[in-house]
Amino acid sequence: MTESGSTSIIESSLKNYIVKEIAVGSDSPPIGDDTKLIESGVLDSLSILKLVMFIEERFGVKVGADEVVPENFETLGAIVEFVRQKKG
Amino acid sequence: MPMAKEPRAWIQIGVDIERVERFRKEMPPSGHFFSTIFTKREIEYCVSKVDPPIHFAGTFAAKEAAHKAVNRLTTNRILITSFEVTHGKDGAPNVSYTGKDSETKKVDIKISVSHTTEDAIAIALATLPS
Repeated sequence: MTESGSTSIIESSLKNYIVKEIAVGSDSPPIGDDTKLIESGVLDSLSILKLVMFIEERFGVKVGADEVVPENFETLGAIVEFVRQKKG
Repeated sequence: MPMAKEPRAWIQIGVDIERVERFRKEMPPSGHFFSTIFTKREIEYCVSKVDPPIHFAGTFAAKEAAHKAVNRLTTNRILITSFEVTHGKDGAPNVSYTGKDSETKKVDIKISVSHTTEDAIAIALATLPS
């Protein structure tokens, strides 16, 4: 699979999870690559932990305590890049 | 004239509020969600109550309040799951850091938790001895 194909699968999987499991029933904005997920209130500390669990299960990677920082979760694009790097 | 260096803080506070419903929808407590976020003792405490989701929300709020206070006080990044909430014989909650960071181990944390059937709130006071 090409790198862009892999990135696209990661992105659609993460976006699907955030929309269906985290942003349910909220007045969150449509989620694009650059939507500020923490700033806009889509993600908070509990939902970030849920997202970390999802990432570990779905992509078979281990997320360390020092990686659960706002920089890695502030946008969908940042999360995709974080997962892509974790997968190597 | 050189600028005076800002003195380091030795006391910080943290507060958190959680919707009970968010924990209720993750039930039962045997699932991965609870075992990842809560310690065995915390789960045992919460499920011993009549309505466990209220106490899961309160326990999480306490961990997050402690996390906020401590992370403002120390230089290292600490994960929320490195804090454990226990209860004394009088039922009062205590929170302790269970990780390995030597600076964070020195921090004294006081916690207070309250809840309704819908929300739980906690406030933490973290003190680093001089």
